[in-house]
Order: sequence, then C-alpha cells, then structure tokens
Amino acid sequence: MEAVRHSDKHASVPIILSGLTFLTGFLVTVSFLAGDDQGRVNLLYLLLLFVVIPLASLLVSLLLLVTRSNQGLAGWLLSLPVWPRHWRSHIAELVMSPLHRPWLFYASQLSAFMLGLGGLLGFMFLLLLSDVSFVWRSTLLKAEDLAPVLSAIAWPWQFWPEAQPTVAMLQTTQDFRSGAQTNDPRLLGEWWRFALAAQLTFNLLPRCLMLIIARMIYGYRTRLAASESSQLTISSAGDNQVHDINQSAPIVDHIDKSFALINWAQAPDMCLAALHSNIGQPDYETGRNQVTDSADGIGFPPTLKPVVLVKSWEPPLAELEDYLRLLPGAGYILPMDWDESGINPVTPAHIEEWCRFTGKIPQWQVLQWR
Amino acid sequence: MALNPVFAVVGHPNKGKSSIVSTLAQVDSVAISSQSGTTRSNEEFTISLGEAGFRLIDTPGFQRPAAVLKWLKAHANSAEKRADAVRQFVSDPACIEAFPDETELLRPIVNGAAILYVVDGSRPYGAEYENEMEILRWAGQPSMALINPIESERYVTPWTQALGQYFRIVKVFNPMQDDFDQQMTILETFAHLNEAWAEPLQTIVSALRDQRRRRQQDSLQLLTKLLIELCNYQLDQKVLNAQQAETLKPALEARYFQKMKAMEQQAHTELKKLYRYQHLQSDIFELSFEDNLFDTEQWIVWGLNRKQLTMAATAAGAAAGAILDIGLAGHSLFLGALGGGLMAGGSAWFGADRIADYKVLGMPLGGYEVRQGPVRNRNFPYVVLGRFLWLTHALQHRNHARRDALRISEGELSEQISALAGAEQKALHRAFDRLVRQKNISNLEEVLAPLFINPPSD
Repeated sequence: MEAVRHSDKHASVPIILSGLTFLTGFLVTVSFLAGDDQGRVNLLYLLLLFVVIPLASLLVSLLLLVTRSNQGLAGWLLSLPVWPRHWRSHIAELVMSPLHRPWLFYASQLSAFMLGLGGLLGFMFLLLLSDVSFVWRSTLLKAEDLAPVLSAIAWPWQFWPEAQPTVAMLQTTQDFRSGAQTNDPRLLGEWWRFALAAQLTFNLLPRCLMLIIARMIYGYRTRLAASESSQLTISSAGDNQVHDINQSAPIVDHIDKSFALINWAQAPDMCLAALHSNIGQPDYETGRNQVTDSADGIGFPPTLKPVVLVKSWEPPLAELEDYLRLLPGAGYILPMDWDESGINPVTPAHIEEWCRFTGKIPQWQVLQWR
Repeated sequence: MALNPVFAVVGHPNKGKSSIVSTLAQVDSVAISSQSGTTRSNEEFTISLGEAGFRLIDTPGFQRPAAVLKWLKAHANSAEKRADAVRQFVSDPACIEAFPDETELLRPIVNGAAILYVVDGSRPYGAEYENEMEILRWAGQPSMALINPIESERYVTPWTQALGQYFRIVKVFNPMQDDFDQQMTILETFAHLNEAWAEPLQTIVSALRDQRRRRQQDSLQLLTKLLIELCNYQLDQKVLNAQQAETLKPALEARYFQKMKAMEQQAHTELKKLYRYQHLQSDIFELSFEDNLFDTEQWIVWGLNRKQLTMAATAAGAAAGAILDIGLAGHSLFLGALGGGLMAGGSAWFGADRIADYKVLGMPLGGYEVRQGPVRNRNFPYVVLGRFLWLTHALQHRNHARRDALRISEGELSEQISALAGAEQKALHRAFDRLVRQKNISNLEEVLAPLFINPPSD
C-alpha cells in the first residue's frame, strides 16, 4: 500500500497475547490436574481437555481459515473491553491495517499454540513434582466399552506401545467412590504417557502446523503488499522552476511621430484597417519575411519608429527578440487578438506576457490603443 | 525484451507540453506557468514497472525555428542527409550557443526518442509553425501530434488538417480535463508509433489501472484510521488539586483542538500523496467541536482511578489466593482465590481516598487527572467522513497538470448516504454511534466501503 503501512506495533500484540494464553494454559492444567483430595484426576475429563476441546478449536480455526474470517482467539481477546485506554486505540489501529486478517489469524494460532504449550508445561510440572493418579469413573460404561475408543484415539502413536491403552489398565484404574480399586497406586500413574501423547497429537502438533501455515500466509501477504506498493515507479530528472520576471515595459495608447509597421504576425487586413484608424497610416509597411530576408536585417528606413504587430496569444519567441535587438533606438510592440469574426480585446494575461517580453528590450514599449 | 519507448514532448512555447507530461506521468512537480519559457531544460520522467516502462521528456519550446531550418538546409542538400544534419546541429558547439533551446529539445530526438508535437487547438493555425514541423520531419523519428484545446476546441479541425500533412497520428488531448480513461487511451495510442512498444506500454497502462483501483482501497483504510483516531483521541494530564485542574482547562482545550485538526490535516496530506499530489495546496474550514469535552477525575497510585485500582487489587488478591489453592492441591475449593480477590478489591474500593492522601518520599499517591475529549457529538464522524470523501473524489477526478488550490468542503454526504442500501445505511449509523462511544468496531472498513463505490455528485 502507498499510504497505510503495516505497523511494527503488530509485533508486540501477539507476544502479549501469547504470554497471557501460556499462563492461562499452565494455570488451567495445573488446577485441573491437581485432582481431588487424593490427587485423583478423572481420565475422561482429561480427554475432554487434551483431545475434545483442542480438536473442536482446531476445526473452528480451519473454518475461519476457509471463510477468511477475521475473528479467532486473538480477535476475540482483542475485542474484550478489558484493555487499557491507550491499548484500545492501538488495537483500533491494528484493526484497520491491510494485513489485519492474516495477522489476526497468525496471532490466534500463536495464542492457541502457547495455550497448549502452557498446558503441556503444567502437565510436566505436576508429573515431576506431584503424583498424579489417573482414574476413570462411569456408571454406564465398562472398561471393555471404553477400550476401543481409547485405542482409536491412541492410533496415531502406535509406535509407542507404552502409551497405548489396554483393557487391563482400564480395569485397574476404574474408580468407584465407594472404595479404592487397586492395591498398587503406581498403576494409577501409568496413564501419563497416554495423556502426554494425546496432548501432543491432538493439540500441540496440529496447532504447530496451523501456526506454520498462518505464518506462511501472513508472510506471503506481507510480501505481496510490499511488492504491490513498489510496483509502479515514477521518477524524474531535471529541475525547471517558475521564475518571476520583474521587468515590464510601459503601455502607451498612441504614438507621436511617423512610424514603420512591421507585420510580424502576418495579420489580415481587418487588423491593419483597425490600426490605421486608431494610430494612423504608417509611413512604411512591411512583413516579417521581408525584414528578416533584407540585406541589413532591419528592412525599413531607420528614421522611422518601428511598430511590430504580433499575435497576442502567441508567446514571444527569441527570434523576435533577436530582430528587435538589431533595431536602433526605441519602438513599439503591438499585440492584437483576432479571429474570423473580428478583432477581440487582448486578454490581460497576454498583455502581461508581452510587457514582460518588451521590458527586456531597452526603450521599447507596448502599444495598446483604447 | 523490447527497448522501452522514450517520448520527447516538443512544440511552441506555452502550448501545454509540461501540462501533458504532468498529467501522463502523474506528477505535480512539473513547473507549469502561464509565462512562456518556463521550461528551460529537458526534464525527464520515467514510468516503470520492473523492466517495462517508458520515458517522457518535457522540453523547452522552439525559439528560433526559422533560423534553425535555414541552418539545416544549408547543411543537407538531399533527403538522406537530413537526419545527419539534425544530429550535427545538436552536437555543434556554435549551434548549442546560438540555439540553446532547439539543441536541447532535439537532443533526445536524435538519441532515439519519438516525437510528441503539441499545439493549441483553441487558437488558429499559423504558417509560422511549419518551420518547427519541418525540423521535426527532418529528424526522421516516429512522430505524433497532440492538439491541446487549452481554451476551446474551436480550431481543432484546421489544425488536424494541417498536422495531418506532417504527422501520421493526430489526437486531441486536454491534459487539464481529460479523464483517466482518456489518458490511458492516449498512452495506448503511443504504441501505434512502433509495434515493439506495445508490450511495455500495455504493461504500464495495466499497472496504472491497478494502481487506481488500489488507491481506492488505500483511501478507505486512511479514512478508517482517521475516524478511529479522531473519535478515540483524548488528552489528559495529572495535577495536584481541583483548582489547578480548572486553571489548566483552556490550555488543554487548545492543545486538544490543535491536535485533532492536525490529525485530519495529516490524513488529507497522506491522501494527496497517495494520489501523487506533493504540491497541491488546499484549504478547509475548521472542525467544530460543540461539546464540552473537559472532565476531571481523582486518581490514586500509578495513575489508576478508583475503579481501576479496585479491579487491579481484586486480580492481584485472586492470583495470590489461587497460588494458595494450588499449594493445597485444590483442597480449598478455590476459596483462596475468591477470598483473596474479595478482600483486596474491597480494601481498594473503600480505602482509595485514604491511599490518595498518603505521601511517599514527599510524592503524593493521589491527585487529579484532567481530560479533554474524546468527542461525543454524534455528528462529528459524519463531518470528517464528508470532508474526506469530498477530497478523495476531487483527487480522483483531478489531473496533475492543474495548479489551482482545492477548497475542501463536506460535499453532499446526505445524498451519498441516501444512495446506500438500507442495511448499509443502518450499519454506517450503528458504526458511527459506536465510534462516538469509543467502542471497538472491527468492520468499520467494510461499513465505509460502499461509500467509495458510490462517489459523491459533483
């Protein structure tokens, strides 16, 4: 874009959002895995946290990607009215950026990834510093009912046999509130590998993939915007300026003595007739070609005052100046304006132009009869 | 890859050569004046897209065509020597001194530039032009004539007839008034001078059309940014007591209004730059702010007001309680977080005034904050919108050759809004209502977009 540039401020927002979601993921997981008073965690709830919710949010992300929506986790977070005032105006600026959508999608994926990462760290934290007992409870389901479902969930990490669920494990870890079910408490911790694999497979890996895709889309759009803005270039070389010319010849409305008319403009008879009636008959009358081709380059008797008739609308050229500088003494420039319908008044702009030009020639004046 | 074309814009002085270059190159830096002889040396403009592009060269006008033709005739007695004579003329030091304008204007032509000969179609044809046209014919380069109807098209026909005897292509082009499509048509016509130029010229024409479309989108983004900035802008300052706050009011008001005007002016300048107007002068009547936008509020430690302090204390208390809960492995049923939050929040709410009176190392922990803005007048965003749309429309329909100033007005905004579909109108009014209440609007750009599709009436 030529005017609105993608702001560097974009960089700080994902970091802040990621920090927040990381902390949230950590705290939620730690709170959840803290379990009940005996440190028992319901495996089925854990599946909800590590499999169902991540998969559902992943589907939402894919849907947003397909529908090119500008919402997502980051969009939702940024729309919350909790940010300080200076942040709100900053967020509002981000919203109108041309790269807002891909950026928002990227920020959402990064936030979701950091949420998962926070969860993973919380999980590892508890595994290291606490004894987590994974149990499951159900009135309706038996271990044999649940085993195929868990096996299906564990299908992606078949290469890791220790993380595979078995009916025996399920039977051992089924919990009834009325009493404990296993004599060996260490068996209750065996599910950690399954839980870890589930979290990695259904949360972190796909989210990582989405993050890479989002980054690529954002990078592509950024490059595209940059290339679009630099496509067409217009450069210039040279520096002409409008110069103020101060000298200006005086305007007179009559001439006192006999004169020679030089019809530089090759004006038609109606112009000459008007001239005769306004300033009198010239003592000598000649045309442009006659004077320039003449032997002395002047082309009229030097005792006469020259009156040079020019087209008012044509800008004065240097070739006229060259001719005027050959002439001895003073003279008059007579700009006239005409067309097929007759003689027109000379416009002030044209008069001004001719006065500027005549001012360069010593003793010359502009003639305009009233 | 074909060589990119170069066009030398030549002709009599003051016939609009610089105007034509200015409009076709979309630059307003070209010196244009009613005084003849403003262009004293060649000025070159390169319009390029990657490797494709073309160059336009603005040249001084002919000043001594009769003498130059005489010189050329003296140096070439047969047709095959004419181009060489022109080349010799351009490089001859004596000619450079005697005919500075002609040697300057003919230099790009002898170096391969095509000729764009410009005349004024509002004034009658004159035989004195034949010297110029003859010199250009001698140069032997591809050539085209452009009739510029500066004041009227009255003499276009006789000019067309006369020019047709010297130039294969004769076109009428008004650099002050012809619209963008007509400008593109002229650029496309240049390709007729040489088939090899069709590709680079077509590339540039397509790029210029794309650029025009993008500018519309970019204008929309500028407007969105401006509206959000103006409607959210607030100026605040901390003072020790209420009396000091009241004293500060006029200065704060003045700073606020000045900043608001500057923000709008900055957006207008960016909009002009977007349309490649670097030198365009414009004036605008001042924004009016009817509301009393001044407000004073007490603040306590770290610049927080009572509500913010309570919320911060609640969050901190809850976090501390939550750590306790985690330490107890959830046995406390989150009572730690709940109790911590309630206690800390309550203390902050009821103890805020007392905290404000405390001093640490002589520095007070509380005071007053004076604020100016943000705007609450529902009409305000419409005024900003109307002025911005008017300027956008003016720039879209203005040619770069014009040098007159713009007088920005609000235009007929109500008509433009009426032209929108009912749902679009509602969305706009709703969005502006949210704007003056400083609510976030994620789709403001989409809401404003239809206004850029329906341009204001002239």
